[in-house]
Amino acid sequence: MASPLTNTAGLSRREWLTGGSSRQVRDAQVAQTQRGAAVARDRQERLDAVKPLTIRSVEPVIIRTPAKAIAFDEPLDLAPIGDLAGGLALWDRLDHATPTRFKGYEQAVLVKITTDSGLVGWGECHAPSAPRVHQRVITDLFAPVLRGKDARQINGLWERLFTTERVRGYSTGSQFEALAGVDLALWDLMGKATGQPVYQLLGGRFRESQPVYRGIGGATTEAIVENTKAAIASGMSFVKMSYHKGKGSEDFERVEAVAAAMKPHGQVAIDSLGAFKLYEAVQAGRRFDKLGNIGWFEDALQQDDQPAYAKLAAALETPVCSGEMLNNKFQFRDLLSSRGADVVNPDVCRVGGITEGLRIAALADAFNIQWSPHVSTGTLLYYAASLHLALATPNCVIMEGGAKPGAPLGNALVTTPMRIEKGLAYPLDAPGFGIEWRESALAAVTVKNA
Amino acid sequence: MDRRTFLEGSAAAGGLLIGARAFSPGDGVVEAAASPLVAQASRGTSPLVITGVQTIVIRAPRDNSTPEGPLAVNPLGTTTGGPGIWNRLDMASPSRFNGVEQAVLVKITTDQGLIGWGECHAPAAPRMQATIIQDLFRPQLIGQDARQVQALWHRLYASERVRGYSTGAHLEALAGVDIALWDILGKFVGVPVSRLLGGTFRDRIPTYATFSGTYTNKDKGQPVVDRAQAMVASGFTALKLALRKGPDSDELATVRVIAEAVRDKAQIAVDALGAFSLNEAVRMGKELDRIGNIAWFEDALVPDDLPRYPELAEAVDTAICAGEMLSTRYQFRDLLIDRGADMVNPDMGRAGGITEMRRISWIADVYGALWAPHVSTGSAPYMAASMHLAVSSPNCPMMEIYDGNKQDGPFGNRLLKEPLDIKPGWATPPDRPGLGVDFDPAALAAVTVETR
Repeated sequence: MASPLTNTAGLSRREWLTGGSSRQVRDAQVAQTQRGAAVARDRQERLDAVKPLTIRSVEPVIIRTPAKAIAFDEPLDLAPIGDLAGGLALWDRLDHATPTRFKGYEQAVLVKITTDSGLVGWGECHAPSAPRVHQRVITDLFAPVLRGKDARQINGLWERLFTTERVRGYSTGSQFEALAGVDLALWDLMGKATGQPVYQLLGGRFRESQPVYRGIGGATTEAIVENTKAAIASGMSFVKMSYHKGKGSEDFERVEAVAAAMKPHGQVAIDSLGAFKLYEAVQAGRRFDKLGNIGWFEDALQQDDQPAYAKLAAALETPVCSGEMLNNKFQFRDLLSSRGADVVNPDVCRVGGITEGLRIAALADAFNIQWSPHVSTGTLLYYAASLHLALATPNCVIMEGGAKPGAPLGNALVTTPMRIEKGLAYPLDAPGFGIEWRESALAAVTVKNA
Repeated sequence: MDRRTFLEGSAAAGGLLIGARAFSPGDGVVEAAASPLVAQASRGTSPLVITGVQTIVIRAPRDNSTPEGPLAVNPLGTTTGGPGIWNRLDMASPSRFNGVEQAVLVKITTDQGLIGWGECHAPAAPRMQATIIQDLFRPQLIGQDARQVQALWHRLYASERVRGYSTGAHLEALAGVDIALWDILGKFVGVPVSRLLGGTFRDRIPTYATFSGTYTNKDKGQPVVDRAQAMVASGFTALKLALRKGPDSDELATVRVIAEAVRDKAQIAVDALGAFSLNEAVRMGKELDRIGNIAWFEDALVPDDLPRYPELAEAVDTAICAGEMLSTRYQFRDLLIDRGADMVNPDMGRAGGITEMRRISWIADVYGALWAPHVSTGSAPYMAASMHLAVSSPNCPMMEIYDGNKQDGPFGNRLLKEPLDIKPGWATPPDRPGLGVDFDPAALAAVTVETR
């Protein structure tokens, strides 16, 4: 870095004033020429970065592990029709909140965007149960719009893709997950074209690393307490556990036990995945209030009962969290303007990517609300994208996914493993999201002829 | 059916069935054997197992373009035109598949030979809806009792509920399955779907037509007025015109001149397709108030600005309508709880089919709102399902018929063995079991591009 007192020949001010030796001068001149060439190259590269990046192809890539050949339409793992929630009396009612799972598999859709210059950007859609749906949204609706466009027009392209079905009301679901995949690939491309990490393009980061938390479970109360202790030992001060059932179940004792184990070290968050009616959530929340170290009470209410969150948040001292089931800034506007949440947890690969995630984070900030990326099954690209957005926003408090790099679609697929130390996740200091696939590993999980 | 036949038939069938008729699997409606009521009752106790769920993508004209072929979309940065701040980014123009009509038909088969037909509204990228049915819904449906229509609806909706799939292709796919299940249930019981829904409030439903044409300074709108008057003379009592531009536009001039010309014979509805911000919509609404003869002002606001409809409805005297962009009863609850609409126009092929549409119609009724089925491009199951629900609903005054002659289009009666009875200004649901839609296999094959 040249200081104002360094002259152009690379000599100190004193050497320059005294003339220096001729050899010194010559060496300095050679060095100057080399530096000059490097600077010129650098400048040229940056100029190249402002040239159009024309999109040549947009390819969805379905990945699945274990990479066993199965039919896409084979029976899904789900509760039988008429399945009840369990519990006593009123608590034994129709279960509305259990999603499909693809039994024993992790699945995702990667999006590979290639430009005329050969530069490649990668994105990812959250797509755990029916990835061919996202594939079709991309091949039939988005790719035709994207081909031939300038990949640097991320804002305009995002809006254009959203608008394709906006007046048909496509504001959620596979449409937004597919949009996330494309959006991430465009940001990755932009980062690679400019040689910058994505967090840098977003205006720089607020911190070097992001606190992360992990989900814990266990068949028995003893087992979940053991897992809590293991998480504490790995440096975590925040864990999350599920709590679906009501009275008559053993679940609350599990919450008490984990909360007690966490007490000297931190907090435990509760995730109910939309299991409760409002009054049930209030009753459960009042018990959490008494425990004192419940980080937040997440997705207490049925997904379509969003307007009732305001009443829940008003009733409880425990922070109320919602957002992983939402897909766009408008839904967050409605949740936040009614003060229905104390923390929101949008999922970058579900809410339409970095572009929409950034707006949601800013919207939350305008309400003085913290946000926390929801990070579910998927690859480290999904993880890295969440991390870059987290670092670039002032109100990101903690991120999900403390155990994710060890999952089947995690470190095994990339050349550089994700660095998580003492409950902190560090971004790779590389262009884009910094994810480089191990090609053979990626090929092994890619589903051919999907 | 005339009133006399209706009364006689009702008497013969204990007031519930249409005539002494029953349905025999495989060959359509036949005269019943000795005791139709006994046969009817026994049929209700045997399971009806779903053995197949097929998606059929149809397209007309069936050209050589691929499903990935270029969509028609506006270029990036397209603005709305108009003076000053009326010239802003256009946020509300959807994609179209250039010059073609598309839809997804759903064919559900059962172990007793009964077949049901459903349809997803899918004008832009139909393989999306088809794939949702193939990969997500079909595995859940095979082996289930087809008569469990409501429980199956809930199961399918819950499959991605906590992932937030509450709109879009997901609900359109669900609509296709649901309509097919109601068709099966109607055939199984031996009555038209409108009877299953609790009976009819009227024999036929008034229809309105979408109308296109523009006033020019040169012709002072005479050609469009002539055409509008001809449509009114043919039987329509309402026409719908586009209004996406500002107060000094040719579009508002068109609305004004036609509304004036057909006054006392028909009303004009205007559709903004989500074009306006609230301040713009209020201004346009006041213009419509002054014109008078306006049936309703539809989709005035930018989509996603739903919470501001109550302000619009309060500011404007003309009836405010929204709903074709919404997909579930929950969204209609949020719209109506603050009186954001005087009428709603949900779409049968988008808002989850008959099961969800019926609940939406009930919510509208609870808030004293009218509803009118939005009927855009699509084929017979979509149209017939809309007709059956419309006649069985107390608060449905009218239903849309795209272009006013949709039944004559490439997806219309030419695909059917028995035509749908759609006349200018009226539509009568088929008086046959189920939806009453029977495709002509050869005609259907001629528009089919993918069957899975």
